[in-house]
Amino acid sequence: MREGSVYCIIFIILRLKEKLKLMNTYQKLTLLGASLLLITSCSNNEENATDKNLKKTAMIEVDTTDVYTSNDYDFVLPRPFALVTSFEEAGMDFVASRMNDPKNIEKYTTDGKQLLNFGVYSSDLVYSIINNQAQSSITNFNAIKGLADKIGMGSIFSKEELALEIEKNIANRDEMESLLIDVYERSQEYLENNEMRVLAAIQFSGAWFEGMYLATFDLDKKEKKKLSHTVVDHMSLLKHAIKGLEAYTDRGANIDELLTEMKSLQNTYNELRSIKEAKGFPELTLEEIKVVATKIHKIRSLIIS
Amino acid sequence: MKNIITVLFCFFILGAYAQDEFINNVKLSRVELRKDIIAKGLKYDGTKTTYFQYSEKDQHKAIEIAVFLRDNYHFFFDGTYAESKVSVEVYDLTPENPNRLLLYEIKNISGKKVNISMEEIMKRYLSYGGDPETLNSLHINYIIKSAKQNRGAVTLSLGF
Repeated sequence: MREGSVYCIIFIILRLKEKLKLMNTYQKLTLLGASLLLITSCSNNEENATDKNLKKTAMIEVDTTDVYTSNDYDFVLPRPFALVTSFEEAGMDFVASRMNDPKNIEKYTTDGKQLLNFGVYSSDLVYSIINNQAQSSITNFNAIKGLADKIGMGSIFSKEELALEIEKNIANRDEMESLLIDVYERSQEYLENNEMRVLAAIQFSGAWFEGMYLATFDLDKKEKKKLSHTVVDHMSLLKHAIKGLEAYTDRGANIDELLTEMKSLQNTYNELRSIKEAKGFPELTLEEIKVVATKIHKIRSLIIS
Repeated sequence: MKNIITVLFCFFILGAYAQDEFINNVKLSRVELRKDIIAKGLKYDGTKTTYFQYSEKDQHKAIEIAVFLRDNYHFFFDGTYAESKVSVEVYDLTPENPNRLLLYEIKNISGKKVNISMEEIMKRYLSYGGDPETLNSLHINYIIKSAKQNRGAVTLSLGF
């Protein structure tokens, strides 16, 4: 057996070590059969090894557990529509220049940045829809489609002409809410089916920060009690955004910096007097909300840069 | 050697087919659950399927849901693809917190569909002296009882 075959066997064993624990005898037998076939094909196809290695380095490096065995502790990632609309009561005026410029999609060349901004544009799209901004909804939707193509999940729009349905209903809030859930679920399914489940949390992080960013303007004009309540509720989601980025092992310098800032935001929030001394549900002072908002705005500029 | 490989290959194909059928059925049940929600005049807000493998020991799997995002969530559980006993417990706090309150319990979801509303959970929470304002997440615990090794899944869909 040549060197390539040995590597092939090691790869199979490492990849399937966790799954083996979960299999019964019958499944193990079938796996043995498959492994034998793979070993045979490995030793007979040395010339393909270089190609395979090239493809492997081009893949997104993530921790891939069995996509159909759930984690012991999981979180239902909120949909961008629910995230953004939950700020409506606290007030969220439409200002087009606050959204991420759709032209920026050309700048996002890494998987992490593309997924984060897929989330950002999803929230911008909801922000446009709930403010009846049809033109802005279309440009944001096109940005999402563009990023989906870059990530490799453009196919989520081709099924059942979902893109056409969205363009047709772009001014209809109820229809759009339902259609965007479809987009979200298809993107989740795509990531799960391609063993990239962990990346869904990155998409959520982008959507969450954009929602918080859009909701934290004109603070002096807003009803402080409602705003405080919304900010405190939403801050309970930050830990999930942090976990999402931590689980993404191929972060690079930019995303590492982002993660550091997110942890710093969590620490700053935990150290706020109203949080530390809260008996029951905390109520933040306006100054404390401003401290959180300043950090959110800084992190958001890192995400879209 | 060729014959052995052929037999093993057939086993592999059959095994893979059985797995695919299970996953496809679960995916179809998710679509059905969405229809159930709409049929009740509610809006659909997403789904989470928890997959597991029954084993000789009891297991726990938990999920957290942010409940402040909608006014009154309805939780639709589907245990059609859980062949053996799975209990569902709903708590206000994380598993590590010893003071958490059990707000709802389904003794066995296996083979059944059950739906509960946030209103019902909130009533229970109030009766324990909880402040509804502070309840921004729910923690759902699935207790997967020991059973013959087989795959299983419980799906939770959200309506509002």
